[in-house]
Parts: sequence; structure tokens; C-alpha cells
Amino acid sequence: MSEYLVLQVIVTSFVIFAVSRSYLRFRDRNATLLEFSLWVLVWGIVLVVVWMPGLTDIPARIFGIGRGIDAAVYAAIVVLFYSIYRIYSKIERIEQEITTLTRHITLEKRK
Amino acid sequence: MRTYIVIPAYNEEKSVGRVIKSVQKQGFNDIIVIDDGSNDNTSRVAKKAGAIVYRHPVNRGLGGALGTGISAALMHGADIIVTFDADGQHDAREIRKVVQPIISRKADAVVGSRLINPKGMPIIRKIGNWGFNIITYALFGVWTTDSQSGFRAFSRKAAMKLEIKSNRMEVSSEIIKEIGKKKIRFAEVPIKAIYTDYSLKRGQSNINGVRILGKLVLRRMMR
Repeated sequence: MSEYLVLQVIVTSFVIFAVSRSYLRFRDRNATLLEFSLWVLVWGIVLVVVWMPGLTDIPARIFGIGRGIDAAVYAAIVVLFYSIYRIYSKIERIEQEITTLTRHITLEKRK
Repeated sequence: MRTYIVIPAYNEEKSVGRVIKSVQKQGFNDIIVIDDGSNDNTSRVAKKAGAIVYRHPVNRGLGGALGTGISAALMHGADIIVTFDADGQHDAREIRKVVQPIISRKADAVVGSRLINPKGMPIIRKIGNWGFNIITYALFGVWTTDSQSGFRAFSRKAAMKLEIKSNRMEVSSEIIKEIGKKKIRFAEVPIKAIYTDYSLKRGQSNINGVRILGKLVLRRMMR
């Protein structure tokens, strides 16, 4: 159990670090209140799960997954894949915008 | 009818001059070269050969360059727009054949197909190209014998309808998609592919093909 405590302390320190980063971004107006709250929520969930791992058994039971930790890992994978997809879409859109700009500049310059 | 030849070029200083000359020899003097942010002398060589040169300040890929070229040709008042590769794999003597269905008003978009009569094409390329035809059909529902061909012709009306969003090589399939979606009258004309060591090196490998495929599928999912 004491090994698990070490992990809990490490994760908690990391969460404090991550939230403080988000707070700094929010304070410097690089992030909106909504974005900041979202990150607080995400990291809050991480804290709850780390300190009360038994809680993950509830969704595990609902979805018929054996252990709580498995449910947490599955959920994390889904979230990760979704974020990759979001980032991909965003990059793709930015690329298209750069092309539109490039085209505009190129055609404008020769007029 | 005024025909503009659009040649997208990225680092093609070795071949673009010769390609322009060969096109002029066939009586087509309205040539637009899009230098897609080359690091070499593509722009200078093309200008010297007598083409109208537009230069992208940064490299955007084939799709980006084709889009700019077609817009430029429309700005210049083109009635027919031909797209032609800069690497020397097309034969300029076939331009008349490719624009013929547009002149005789049988079609508004023509693709020069290297695979109706695929003499000289390496077998691995043949397989890759057919693979792309099947994928293009599965994703966009338009059957062509050469979805990846760079030799095409459009009437002004069709060119104005085309919306090109792809930046890179997946543009070839996207153009086919647009032809289907906008119900543009479409024809295929057999062309020769001239495979030299140079054009083979410049063309697409099958590994690059896998990347294009990934993009096409994702693109499809995003719509």
C-alpha cells in the first residue's frame, strides 16, 4: 500500500503543477475562464480517481468491465484518440487557411 | 477559344524549361507556371522560357499549386484550362487530343488516362494506380481509369465550379470527387506516359500512396 502512496503523491504534485500552469495561462489571458475550468475539471477527476480508486468500479460495473482500473484506462484511450482527431482536424484547417493566404498573396502580387 | 496551360512545379529547374518549350511548339503560348516555393531556379527558368510565372512564397504542395494555377488562368480569361506536369512525363503533342472533347462540347472535364494503354509503365506503378482508382471509386463514387493523372482539361465553366481544398497529392482524387459532386460532364482520353529515370524519381512512390490514402479517408470522415 505504501508504494501506492508514493504514486499518489507524485500524481498529486504533477496535478498541482499542471493546474498552476493552466492558472498562469488564464491569468495572462492566454486562456478563457471556460478553458481553465475545463482543465481544472479534468485534473480534478484525475485526483479523485488516484485518491479513491474504488470509485472507478462504479462505471466498470455499469459497462461490464472487470476492474475499475481497466475502465479508467479505456476511458483514457478514448479521450486520447479523440484529442488526436481534434488536433488533426485543426491542423488540416490551418493548412487550408495557409494555402488560401498563399494563393491570395501570390495572385495579388502579380496584378 | 483561349487555352491556358497550367504547370505546377516544385524544384523542377531541370525539366520545366524543356516542358514549356514542348508545349509552345504545339502552338500553346499561354502558359502559367506555379512555382510552389521551389529552392532552385524553377521560376527563372520558366520565365526565361516564356511562361507567366506565379510564385508561392512557401511550399504548399500540388493541390495548393493547382488551385492557384486554375484561379490565375481564370483571371487571365481562359476558356479552356489544361493542367500539365512539369516533370516531362506528358507528351505536349497530346494536348489537342485532351482538349478536343471540350472544344466539341462533349465534356467539361477531361482526364488524360495513362492506363487505358499503359505501355511503358512499371508494373508496380500500374498496381498502385489501379489501387487508387478503386479507392477513389469507393470513397467518391466516380470511376476513372486514371484517378492520379496530372494531365487534365477543364472548360471555364467547370473550372469555376471546382473547389480544391487539398494541399498535397490527394488533390488528384479530390478533383475526381468534385467532378462527380458538381455533376460536371466528364470524359477520358488515352495518353502515353513517358517514364524516364527523372520522372520516375519525381513521381509518387507507393509508400507515399499509403499516406495519400490516409488523408483521403480522414477527409471523408471529416465531412
